[in-house]
Amino acid sequence: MTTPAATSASAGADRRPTHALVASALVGPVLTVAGLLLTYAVRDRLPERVAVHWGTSGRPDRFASLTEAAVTASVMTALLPLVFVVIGAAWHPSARGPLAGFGGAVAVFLGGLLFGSLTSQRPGEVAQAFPVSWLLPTLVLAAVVGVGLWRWGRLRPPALDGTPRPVPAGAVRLDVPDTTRVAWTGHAALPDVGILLVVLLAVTPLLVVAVLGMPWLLLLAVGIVALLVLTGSARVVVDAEGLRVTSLFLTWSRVPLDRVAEARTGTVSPLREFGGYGWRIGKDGTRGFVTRSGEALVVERIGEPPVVVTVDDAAEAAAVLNTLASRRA
Amino acid sequence: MLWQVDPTSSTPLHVQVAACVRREMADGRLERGDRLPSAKEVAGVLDVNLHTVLRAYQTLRDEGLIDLRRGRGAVVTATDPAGDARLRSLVADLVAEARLTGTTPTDLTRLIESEFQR
Repeated sequence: MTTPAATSASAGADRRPTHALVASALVGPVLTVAGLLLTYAVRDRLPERVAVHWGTSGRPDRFASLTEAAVTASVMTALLPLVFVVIGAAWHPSARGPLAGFGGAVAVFLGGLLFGSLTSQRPGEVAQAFPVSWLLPTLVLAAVVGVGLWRWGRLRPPALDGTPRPVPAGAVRLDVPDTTRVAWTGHAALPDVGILLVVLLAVTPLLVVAVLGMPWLLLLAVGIVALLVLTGSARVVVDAEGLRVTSLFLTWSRVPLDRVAEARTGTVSPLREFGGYGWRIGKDGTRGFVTRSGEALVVERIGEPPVVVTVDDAAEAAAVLNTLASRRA
Repeated sequence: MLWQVDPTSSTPLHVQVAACVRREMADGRLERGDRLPSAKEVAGVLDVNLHTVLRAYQTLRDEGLIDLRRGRGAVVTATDPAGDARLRSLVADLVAEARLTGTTPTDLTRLIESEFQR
């Protein structure tokens, strides 16, 4: 920042990911202020002791004074989402958009439900943990804010300046004439046992609570299963357009041929490098669709962090992508 | 799996597409129950006509290598695809040779049976 060169470089960099992250950090505090104002406005209609915790049966089992409840709601809404912001600040700029989205969505979710359940309570009525009149608007707003911040904070890849960037001579290639059309199809999928285990772990508690008294949680369980099935496997295609990683209607990653610097094989450890399985972003901005540890296709991109996909025969996929990328004019 | 076709080759495209699947089977990289990409997807990645791929898949089905079902796509069915396909191609050659020499189907069958009894 002290030298002119550094200043011009930072001025040229895309600042949107950082701006989105800052905006995400403000969502919680802004909603907290709004929530406190609302609570203050309806304070006369609220019971003296408000419910702050609900048992598995859906009935409140712990109560507190209004001040205490409002402070708890404020602290959670304003501070919990900051976890995502702090992670985003430490990580690669290309990870900031998604994390800003998550932080914003969590802030809306917490603010809506905590202040919603607080301000909906009336003396003599059984307090609801998730008042229906607040639940839907909260979820919709959380989705809108999350997707909006994510998209705003997306790091635009630097423009290609037109200089040819040949694939390195040592990169694996297919030995085929230039007239041959080549393509590669494969898939990355969580093992069925793994999916079953995750479903059991994630859904069993929800089912128990749903049966005990909150039937609407069944919807959440169905949603989680659908999400797992959707994100548990992906089709991987390499063709004249580049690399595509997709699940049904979702495109996880698309690397155009002219953005491919080099494709190679690598070894991936999902838990250590990505902190989990499925579609992931690493600390250094690496995008990964990782469903197991071991051999993976690594696509180095021009001006962006690499994309990693766990496929069998990664060497063959890399060779096809390098062959196609070498042919570009 | 690897797909490759050369439009400048004299071999018809659908034969080349079918050959991609057979080679994958011969290399042991496709197993019974594995699902092939949809004909539409293959046509898209190779930039060939959908009917070219459908024809290739139909050939493979006629060879007993895959099962084609509406909604399920193409599923690998043969346990020893390489051997089966090779036998079929040898029989095709045999019949072609028999036609050239004017051998009747009965004579050819008799020849095959006597070969079995040796």
